Amino acid sequence: MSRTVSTVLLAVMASMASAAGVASAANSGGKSQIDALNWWTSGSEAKSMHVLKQMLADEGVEMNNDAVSGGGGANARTVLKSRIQSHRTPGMAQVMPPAIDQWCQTGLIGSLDKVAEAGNWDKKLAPRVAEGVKCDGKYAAVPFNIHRVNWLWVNKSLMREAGVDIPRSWPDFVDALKQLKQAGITPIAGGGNTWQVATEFDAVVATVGDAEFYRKALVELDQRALASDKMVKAFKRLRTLKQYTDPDAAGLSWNHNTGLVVRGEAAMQIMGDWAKGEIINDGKTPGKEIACVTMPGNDNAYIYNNDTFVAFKVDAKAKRRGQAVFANTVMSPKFQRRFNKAKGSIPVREKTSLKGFDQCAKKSAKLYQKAKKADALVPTMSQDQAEIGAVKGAIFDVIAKFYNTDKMSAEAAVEALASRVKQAEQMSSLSAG
Amino acid sequence: MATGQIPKERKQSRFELAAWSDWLLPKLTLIPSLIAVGVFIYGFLGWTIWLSFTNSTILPSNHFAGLIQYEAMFSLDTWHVSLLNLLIFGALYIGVSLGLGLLLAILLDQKIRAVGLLRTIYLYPMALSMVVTGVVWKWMLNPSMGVQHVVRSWGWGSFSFDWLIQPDMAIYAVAVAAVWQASGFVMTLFLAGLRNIDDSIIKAAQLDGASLPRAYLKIIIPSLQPVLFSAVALLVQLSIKSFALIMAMTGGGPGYSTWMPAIFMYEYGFNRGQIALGAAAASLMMLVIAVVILPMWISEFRQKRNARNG
Repeated sequence: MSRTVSTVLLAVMASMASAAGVASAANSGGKSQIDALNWWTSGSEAKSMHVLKQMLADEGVEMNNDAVSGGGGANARTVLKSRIQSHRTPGMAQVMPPAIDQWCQTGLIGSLDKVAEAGNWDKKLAPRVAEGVKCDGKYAAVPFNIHRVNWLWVNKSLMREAGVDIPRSWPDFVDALKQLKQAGITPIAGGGNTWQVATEFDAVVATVGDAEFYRKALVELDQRALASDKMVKAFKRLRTLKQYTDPDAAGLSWNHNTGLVVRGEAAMQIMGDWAKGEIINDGKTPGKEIACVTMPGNDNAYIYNNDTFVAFKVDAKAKRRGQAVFANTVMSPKFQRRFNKAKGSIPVREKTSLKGFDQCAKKSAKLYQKAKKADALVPTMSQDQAEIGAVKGAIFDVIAKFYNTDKMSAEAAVEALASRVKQAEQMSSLSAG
Repeated sequence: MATGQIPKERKQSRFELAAWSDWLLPKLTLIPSLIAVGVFIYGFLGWTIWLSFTNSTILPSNHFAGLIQYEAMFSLDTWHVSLLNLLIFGALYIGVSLGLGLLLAILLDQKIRAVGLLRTIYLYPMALSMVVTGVVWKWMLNPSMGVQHVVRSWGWGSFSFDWLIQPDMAIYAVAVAAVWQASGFVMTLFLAGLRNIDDSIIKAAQLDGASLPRAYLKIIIPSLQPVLFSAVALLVQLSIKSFALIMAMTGGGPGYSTWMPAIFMYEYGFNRGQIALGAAAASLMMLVIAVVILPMWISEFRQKRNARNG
């Protein structure tokens, strides 16, 4: 690029930045205010953010709900990057824990340590969750909730009709799949797209090993675990699942598939507890007509997903106060209850009352405590909770290739998994140094 | 004399001012757009190329890293699939749209009734957004609710049309939708070209004993070359940057079997936080467009110059 062009570019950027500076200075007259960049645009999510906005207003903080729709957060992530480039950094932004790490390395992350200390977050968060919201050992983000990913949603009446018991172990599960198929019932509603297959894969990996194996392979990316026989077994089990999934479902969305289970057109779905929203929409009660059971063979592991908002470095004192009030409010029992009841997740704050929550949420909370004691809480790979985008993408590619190529062996998939993950790790660590 | 002198001088200066403003005004009016084009097209183009040689991940970095992004890109199965899909899709999209468009144009040119209406009907798909086209075809080609389902419900139980869910065939399904959208537009281009050809040429050829198909083959179609050039130039760049149609129709799936370079670029650059790798893909896409379009453009330019000089 020639020097003149870059000068012009810089000039344009500088003028944009100064214009933004003027605008924000004009906005922050006296009152504390905070921009919250997020990708929560669906009905219940947007409503939850509105609740937060009102609760913050009571504290004298004006929150701008900068919700960016589309792309499962991809668009919001792009907006975040361009805002940072043009010096309009939002005070709080929805960012997944692995990306908090990535942003941490850029030195742009602020601190919530004082709020966390005052609010005693160390006691109010499970250690594994607290770990995920820290940057250089200091609290940098506030967690909103806990979703459980490794649920199996079962249409009870279909199972009763086919005379099949709800399975507990993997062999029972495969037997149940066989019997359902023989009875002319689609056993699994799934497939659809790589994201759905990866959600199934998460649960399947936890069937071949305990939480420790899951953590070693999909969180710590230990090469030996990734290339292990256990991983080969996991891929073979994923193929078993595919055999009992309607092939026509390719390209259909997860909520369409949940609908199939609710309406009795398929028996089961492996999906996170956001599926509850679809069940309720169809006029059924989660835990009643549609059972929520632990993925067979997953007794040990609780695969979770939590939404977090990270604090970016901001100069204005009013904005820092805004960040503190934001974090404090999100962690308050009142917001935790209201938000999580609407979202279908459970409160991330320990010992929050679950009065009025549905059966599945209560079950989830019990399993969460059990897993916490056994150190079996593991972040989900499929929902951007365990890995940064580059590594997750590499894992997704291998899963997609294997799932869609019947002649690809599980051994070849495992080999590809180990080498692709290594490459993605190396590529993304280049700029960190 | 003296009284006549002053108006003459004034006239001359006025003339000079007019000449000067004639010279300046177009440049003045062009400058804003030139700057905009310079910055937002060529500036960012240059920046993208530069980024592809860096180690940028979630934010642009200026650390030169050589060719590692290109090396990584060519080691990825997703890139090979994207390139192969571009070849298959591009060949079908351009070839079939041109063929079908030409055929339709020739048929419509046979002095039939309601040409205007027919032309509008054929042109309409182009007025639809790519996303709408994609969604409509997605439902039509979905085996459990589209064409296959309908034909089976008529009683032909073994009928199968499930390209959309077959990893090897899905790209052809996308090509079908794309051709449906573009061929009417190509037809309109050709029809305009055909209308410009003097009837007397055809009559003369027929007097000389040429059959109608022969007259088309030897005289009319060759004289459509400039139209062909415009159509190809349009279709080439449309196929290389095709994105919305695929996203709406297959989301790149099953798996990544219908990825194309533009989706690759978006996925790595925006979704996966590998800006440099995305930039490398974007740079190669531009190179491909340049390789295809430039020679055509140069030959067109030469022909024009020859025509002017000769």
